This record gives sequence, structure tokens and C-alpha cells, in this order.
Amino acid sequence: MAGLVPPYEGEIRYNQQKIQDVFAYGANVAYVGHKLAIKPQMTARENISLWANLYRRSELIDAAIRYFDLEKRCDVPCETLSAGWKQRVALARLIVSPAKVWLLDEPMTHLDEEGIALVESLAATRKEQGGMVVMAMHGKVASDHAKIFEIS
Amino acid sequence: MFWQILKYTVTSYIRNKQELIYIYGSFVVVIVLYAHNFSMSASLQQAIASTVIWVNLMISFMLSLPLLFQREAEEGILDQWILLPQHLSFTVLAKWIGYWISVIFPIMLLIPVLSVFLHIPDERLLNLCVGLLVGSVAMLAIGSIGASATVNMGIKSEVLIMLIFPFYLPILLFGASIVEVQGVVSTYVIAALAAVLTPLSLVITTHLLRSST
Repeated sequence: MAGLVPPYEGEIRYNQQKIQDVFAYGANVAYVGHKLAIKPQMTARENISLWANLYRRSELIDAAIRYFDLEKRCDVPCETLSAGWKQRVALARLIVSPAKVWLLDEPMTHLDEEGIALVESLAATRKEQGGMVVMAMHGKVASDHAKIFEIS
Repeated sequence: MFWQILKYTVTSYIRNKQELIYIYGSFVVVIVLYAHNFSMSASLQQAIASTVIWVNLMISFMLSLPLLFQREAEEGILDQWILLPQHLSFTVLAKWIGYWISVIFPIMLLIPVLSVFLHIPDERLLNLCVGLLVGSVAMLAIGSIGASATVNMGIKSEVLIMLIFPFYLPILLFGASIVEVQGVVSTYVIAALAAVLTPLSLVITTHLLRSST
């Protein structure tokens, strides 16, 4: 759905347009996948700033760090963080991204209960503000307002 | 956005100091070892000196190119770059320039210093440096195609080196002859090569990277 790989069958549309025809389609989606898109040698703050500066939303860097509770861990290289914290840094990118559609591939991996709750409420906020969150998951998610598609 | 990617590239190279030192170091070592070869007559040494520099530059490229895009592809950063509203070719260009500034340019600075060891006549030195400058652009362009092929088709980096090497040979041939009498012509040839190769490679590299997911 991010347009990184051509569809196997059928077509994907965004605002009634095929995504291949949308100019700069990638700017409309925020994708967090298995590869976390973190530079391990850089600190969490630097990683988040990297994306925030690219999207011109540097004012949100501190908010992203605070939301995921990274304040005490934001100035060490990411390679020293555990998998759960790395996941949080990767997800923090969602806060600084201007995209309205979020594509999350198993976002809850490695997260503790607190982390899962943070992601769920973040997704709910995004939906309330008029966006869409698509999550691929193995387990169940506690959400009353989610449409669940089961793919076996 | 362009400048940020550039800044990011240079920063990540600086963070990975070991890699850089390895590349600079091997360049210096080769030249110093060659210069202290007492069994070669001075005139012979002088004749081959410029070739040694060119080959050395090629080696430095071979060492650093496979990783040009490898890390970003592995880390998922490349995927994010594909999604940026900026066209991927600008990002690639920024990465190229960042790479050139961090890896190649310092080597260029070392060359005038090291050429003292190699007894290259001063008049030729300037021509040589200009030629190297331009040649490095051409080599970067060719190497980038190989590097993005590594990422795209999962070719191992050793194979990559063997792939690119034949394409470097013309540049090497012309480059080594810059120090000769009518050497200036060679510089123009290389410059022309670079001018043609750069946009071509930009297009090919971008395409390869895009389809590498």
C-alpha cells in the first residue's frame, strides 16, 4: 500500500486515483515496517530529527520524544537500546510525519504493555483527526472502532 | 531536503570513522610502500607514478562503493527515501555528493602531499590533480550503478568489484597518460566521460534502487 512494491493483483486507489498516478504519493503515507529505518549509530534524538527536518516539522521532535518516554534515552546511540525502545524510536517517526495514512507492519512487536497502549491511543488520535491507520498484526488489538480483515 | 540528505550522509560517514580511516589509510600505505621500493630505478618509478595513484584511487572506490547504499537498504531508510516527496534521483545525488566529500575529497587532498614521495614533476601535478578530480566523478558514476545493483539484485560486493573493474579501465588508461606530454587531451576525454556518465548513472541508479524493495 505504500507503493514500494507493485500490487500482485488488482489496484490500489487513494482518493479515487490509482496510487501510481498520484504525484508524490509517498508523502501521503507513513510506513513503519520491519526494517525500522533507524540509523543505529545515531541517537534517538538525531534519528527523529532526521525525519522531522525532512518533513519540516522540527517543532514536534520534543513532543515525539516525550510521548514515547524517550527523554532519558534520547541521547545515546540507538544500537545500545533494546528492541522495544528501538521500536519506540521508529514509531516516534509517526508523530513528526505529516502523512494522514499510516501503514504499520506489526507495530506492537517488542513493545511492553505501556508501549502498546501508547500506540493504540496514537492510532485512535490519528483516526479522530481524519486519517487512517492500517495495521498488520498477528495478535488481537483492543479497539472498538477498528475494521478487522482476517487474512489466512 | 536535498541538503539534509547530504548532511546526513556526511554525518554518518563521520560517525563511522573506522571505515574512513581504513580507506584513507590504505591509500597512503600503498603509495608509501611503492615510493620506498629501492629496487626500482628512479626514472622508472617516475614513469609509473601516476598510474599508481590512479590504481590506488580505484582501489579506494572499490573498497567504499559496495557500502554506498547497502546500509540504508538494510536499515529501511532507503524505503523511506523512496517515499519522500523529493524525487529519488535528488536523494541519490545528495548521497553521491556526501560520499564524495567524505571519502574521495580527503584522498584528493592527500595526493599533492604524497606526490612528493613519487617524484612527479610539478608542472604535471596540477594536470594530474585536475584529471583525478574529474576522473573520480566518472568513477563515482560507474560505481554507483554497481552499488545499486548490489542492493537490488543481491549481488555480493566481491562480485560487484569484478563487475565494475572493466569499466574503470578506460578511465585508468586516460588518467595515467595525463602526465605525458600531450596529457591535457586526456583530461578533456575524462571530463567528457564524466559529463555523459553522471546523468546516465543517476537515472540507472535511481531506477535500480527504486525496484530494490
